[in-house]
Amino acid sequence: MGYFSAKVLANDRIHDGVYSMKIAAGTAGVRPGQFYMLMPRAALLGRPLSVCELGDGWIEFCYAVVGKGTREFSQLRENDDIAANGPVGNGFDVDFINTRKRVAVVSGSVGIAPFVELVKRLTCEVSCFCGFHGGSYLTERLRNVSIATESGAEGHKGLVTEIFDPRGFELVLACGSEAFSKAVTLKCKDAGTSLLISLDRHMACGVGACLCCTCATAEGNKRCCVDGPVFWGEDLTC
Amino acid sequence: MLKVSLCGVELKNPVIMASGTFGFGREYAGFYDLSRLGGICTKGLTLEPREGNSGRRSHETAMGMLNSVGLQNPGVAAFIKAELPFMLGLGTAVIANVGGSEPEDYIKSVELLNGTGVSVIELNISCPNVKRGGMAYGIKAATAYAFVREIKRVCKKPLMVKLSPNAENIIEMAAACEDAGADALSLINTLKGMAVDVNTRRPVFDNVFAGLSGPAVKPVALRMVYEVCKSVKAPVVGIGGIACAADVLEFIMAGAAAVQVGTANFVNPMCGAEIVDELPALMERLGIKTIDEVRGAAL
Repeated sequence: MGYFSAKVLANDRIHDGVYSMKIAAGTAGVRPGQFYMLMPRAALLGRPLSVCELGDGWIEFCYAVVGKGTREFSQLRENDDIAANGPVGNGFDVDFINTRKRVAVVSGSVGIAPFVELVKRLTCEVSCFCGFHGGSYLTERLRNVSIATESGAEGHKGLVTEIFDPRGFELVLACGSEAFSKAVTLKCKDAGTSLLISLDRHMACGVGACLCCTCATAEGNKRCCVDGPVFWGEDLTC
Repeated sequence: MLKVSLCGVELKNPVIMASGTFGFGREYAGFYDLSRLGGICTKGLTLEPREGNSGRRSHETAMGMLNSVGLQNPGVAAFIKAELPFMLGLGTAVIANVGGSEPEDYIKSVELLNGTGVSVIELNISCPNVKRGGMAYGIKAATAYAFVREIKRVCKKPLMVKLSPNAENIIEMAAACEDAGADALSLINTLKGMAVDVNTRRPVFDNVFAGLSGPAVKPVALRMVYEVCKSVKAPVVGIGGIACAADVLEFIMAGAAAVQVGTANFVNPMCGAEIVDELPALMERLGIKTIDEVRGAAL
């Protein structure tokens, strides 16, 4: 909890440019949908990574290598140390979600990560719609999954938003890129289906001080890091 | 050992948290006891609330970062009501950073803050991120002189003017602000910079330009502090890329009365406490008994 140094327990490539890293850390009270700022040594700012799965004394993160910081993470080995700050953010309210009858999970690329721990805890009826550029990953750890790939390598050839219809669901849970988030938010608004969406923003401090990760809501700017990253779709104006 | 005096205000140490990097203290209060700090500068305050800039607001650079926040803040009145009581209870000096656009807005902000418990008012004439956000006053020495004089007339607190490295001539700028009545100077604010997104072929920021900070700017900041300390009598607070106790001493030896730590708070939320812890140990190792003893040693 807070700012700490952790041991890397494992760091494995699970797909082209996608890695799963486990660090040793306490998990009491940590919610799915919360994240940690993990600190690269060769770059200045922390990188926000969502909790993928929580275990007894370990936290797993799944991340795509997109730049300098995540490239450094991908080179970490067992027993290396990594500085972290977290858990940060509101996360998903599992008890609330379990009061809904039919829930859809919609993810874009590595936006699938937070749903591994979440789906594990859901007792309601869940359907998952997962989109990828090339092949899929982590889907075997969800349930009732439909896959879309832009390359056509698996499942529907095209975008995940083409195979997902919010009508018929009481609540949609989503996480993906900014473009994905816009498309899903719009789709749920049109269908009148409630949406809880975990947003992806460039962050600097990860403690709520710098105001770099703000997103526009009906109540004015909110900080994605500590007021989110999970927001009600209907509140978002961005 | 660490005590310093800044225009009549006693600070328990020279380590002040820089405006815009520490919110109103709340976000860091869970990490360590903030009473250990020399002081905290508030997020930049304007008379009216501001939502700040649209689009991307931060971009990491080599050992630094660009920001384009654009003075998002709740406004001076809301600050005084909702945030200041909490800050005054932290047991550290509170420095109110005031920005704006029109001189009348600055004057009204300062008048509101005159009646509060803040120790110092830091006048932001150097924000590069809002078109009419103060930097207009921070480029030409003559403009700054007239502006600071006007503020000084109404300001009942010690007035510290925060200078921009984008000033035409930092030495003339510092002298002009001192002549206009500034009780202290703080420098540097961020350097005006930009970044281009090679995917979109467009500037990263909606505002095009943004403010560069972090370790990358430290040598430039140190040089400017050194030059200003050589030429003015007013106390100077050094700012720019400070991230450890040795950085603090460098600025003190270049003549600074105290320092502000900014971007380092984003890198390590504990850095304020760590620097305050490291400082006495480093001083002991270097045979330094008090901060005052080495101030300006490099001049």
